[in-house]
Amino acid sequence: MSDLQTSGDSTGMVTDSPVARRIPHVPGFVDRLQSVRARIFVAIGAILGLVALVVMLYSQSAVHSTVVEAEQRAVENVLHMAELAIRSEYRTLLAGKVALVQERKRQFREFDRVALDTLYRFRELAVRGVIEESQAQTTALEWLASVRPVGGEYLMVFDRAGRALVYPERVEVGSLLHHYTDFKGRSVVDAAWDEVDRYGETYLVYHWKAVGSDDLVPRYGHFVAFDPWDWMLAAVGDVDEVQREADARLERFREELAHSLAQVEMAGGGFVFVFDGDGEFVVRPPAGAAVDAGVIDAQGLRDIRASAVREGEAVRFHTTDGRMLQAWATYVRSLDWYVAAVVAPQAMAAPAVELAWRQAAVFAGGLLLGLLLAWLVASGIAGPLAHLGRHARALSETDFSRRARVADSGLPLQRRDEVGELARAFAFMEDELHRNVHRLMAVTGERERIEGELGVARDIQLGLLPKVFPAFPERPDIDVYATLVSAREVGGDLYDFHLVGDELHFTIGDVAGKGVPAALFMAITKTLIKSASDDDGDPARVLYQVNENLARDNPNAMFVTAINGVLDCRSGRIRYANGGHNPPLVLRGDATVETLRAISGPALGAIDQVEFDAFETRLEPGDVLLLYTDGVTEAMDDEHVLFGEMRLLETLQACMPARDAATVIDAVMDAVRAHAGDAEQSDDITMLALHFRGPEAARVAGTGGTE
Amino acid sequence: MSLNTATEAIEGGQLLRVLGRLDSSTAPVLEKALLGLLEQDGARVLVDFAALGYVSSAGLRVVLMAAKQARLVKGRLVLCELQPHVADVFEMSGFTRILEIAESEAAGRARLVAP
Repeated sequence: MSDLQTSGDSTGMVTDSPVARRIPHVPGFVDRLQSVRARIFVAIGAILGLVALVVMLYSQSAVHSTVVEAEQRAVENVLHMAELAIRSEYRTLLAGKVALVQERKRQFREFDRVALDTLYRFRELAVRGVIEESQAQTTALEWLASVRPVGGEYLMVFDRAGRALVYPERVEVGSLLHHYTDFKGRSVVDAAWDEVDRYGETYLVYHWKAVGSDDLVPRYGHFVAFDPWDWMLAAVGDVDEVQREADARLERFREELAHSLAQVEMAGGGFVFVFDGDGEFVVRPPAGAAVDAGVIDAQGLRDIRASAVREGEAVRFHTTDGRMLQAWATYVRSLDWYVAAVVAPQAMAAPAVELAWRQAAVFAGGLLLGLLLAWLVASGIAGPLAHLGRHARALSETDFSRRARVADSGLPLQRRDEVGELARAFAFMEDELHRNVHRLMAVTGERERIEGELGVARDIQLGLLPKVFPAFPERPDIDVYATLVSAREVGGDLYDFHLVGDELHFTIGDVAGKGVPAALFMAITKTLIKSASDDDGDPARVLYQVNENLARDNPNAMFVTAINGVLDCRSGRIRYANGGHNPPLVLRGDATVETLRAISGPALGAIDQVEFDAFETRLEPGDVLLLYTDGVTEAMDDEHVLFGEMRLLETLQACMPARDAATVIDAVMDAVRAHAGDAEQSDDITMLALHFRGPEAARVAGTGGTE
Repeated sequence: MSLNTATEAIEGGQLLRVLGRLDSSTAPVLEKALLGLLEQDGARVLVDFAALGYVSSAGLRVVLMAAKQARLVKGRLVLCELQPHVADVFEMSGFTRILEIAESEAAGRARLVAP
């Protein structure tokens, strides 16, 4: 069985203990994780995932920085463009203002010249006497009051004294106008007379009461004098009109700017707006912008303004609701305007994030495909392996002695890879198992057969021997006892005895060798001795006869040591012959032991044509004759120490005087067993004891019964 | 329990030294060695039992077979250097009467070359 066990374990068939072997293997969660399939799955998943992660991180970062860079460039361009547009508009604005003033001046001068020409015609009428001079003056003033300078507010006329002659407000006509001053603090009236006297005409810019109210408003006027009558004519214009013109133009520009800035598209929902030094919006952020401009508070604007100083540098600030925005700004000093571009950094990352998602989708598809492929490959490996595993478990339940192979034999033997190799090794192992089991069964059968034969041999051996004791209950004068204890491998010991009248014939023998041949040889010997002993009671002639029979045709040189003897129950006389056997022992009543060493001849069967001598001895009543085989003296203990003759003699001396033959034999048997201990008996142990009680015992028994 | 034998050529034949115990389990070893030496006609073998510690009846049988074989090929088998216990066994079995046994190895060698 040890072969089976070893083979089973070498396949890794689950377990060490036979108990666990019977428990079907149920894969747990951990086992599943450790399966080949799971490992390939995990490996491919991990590799693809890692690659995907790296690529995604890298491309996201690259895209993000590219977007930010591009956005910064776009912002710079937008800001630069807006700044250029504003500066250009400002220059145009300035030029427009100057042109308007020039235009007004030209128009006023033209108007004043026409007015002077008309006054000269009125005066000429008076000189020629057509009309009175005073009438001419009155008519002239009436005409003057009815006209209005082109592009101007009104026409004003006053005399050298500063008295108003023509004025848009009738009530003021006749009043003095000295109290209005110009920017240099001079009385406008005086300054006008002074400069006109010197240069013929003049322009003055000053503050003057508004028409219909007492508010002082900025005015400018073109002054000329009509000398004949000492009148000063002034075409007066409104300075604010120039400014209003400019403002209107600026407003148109602002609208255009707002329109064009609203067209600017920036990544991340960015937008551009303009505000002035006071924190007022010039161009509001577009209403649809991703970032609601309403949440940019004064603090945010201050931050942006600060960044405008540092050209091209972005500033980050927080809206009122805590969102972080990034801004670039530029400052146009002439208009005190700040142009700001604002983006949301998160929104700027949007393209990168979107790319990442798109890549993730692609990678997820790839991963799915990879895992599907991995599953197919892994199944191709793990499936057959699992099959092998089931096969291995099935092996443990297979009756190898009956079935040739495990029923389910769909092993992947044809595969050309390592799995196929394993399967072939498996099949080989299984075949070997079958072979070994069958061999084992054959060997076991053979051994059983031999054991059976040995049993037969033992039966033959023991069946031939007299085993009923007391052997002669009707003869109180002799007590015979014998025993034969077979070794496991039976030997060829024998004993025999029978009564012929008052003569007890007895035999003991030991065939050389063991087993069936020895048992058969023993049977032949016993038969021959009995037959010879019946023909002729003389022991020497019996041995001669038997030896001749055994030595003839004895190619294997089988031989048997034997003693044959005859006890005369009346006298105690013993005649015996010893063919190479262990010497008989005579136990005397005084506890001495006599060893009868005389040898009649060699062991029987060894060689033919040998004469055997006969010897004599005598037993006194109470004496015991003990015959034994070498199984007694050569009984060994664990260390191969022989029981020996000395121990035998000591044992015998100790048990004398003997009550009967059986006592003697039992004493020796006990001593031999004590000596051998656990050592296995290697040879048959045979003893035959004759306890001679003598004719006297018979007489006692005859009257008093058997002892 | 084991038995070893060693063979050497000596004047007049072969010398077989036997070492160990001679019983039913080791008898085949000696049987093979001895009968192997006694195959040829006139083969003479001296067996040295100096290192033989024990002999059983099965051992005696092998020696007896060898002696018969020697007689068959008209050769000679001489035993020598028997230890007392082994000598007792040979004596007791009566085989000293039918086997050629020398007292010493020298005596054995002498018998081997004798006619």
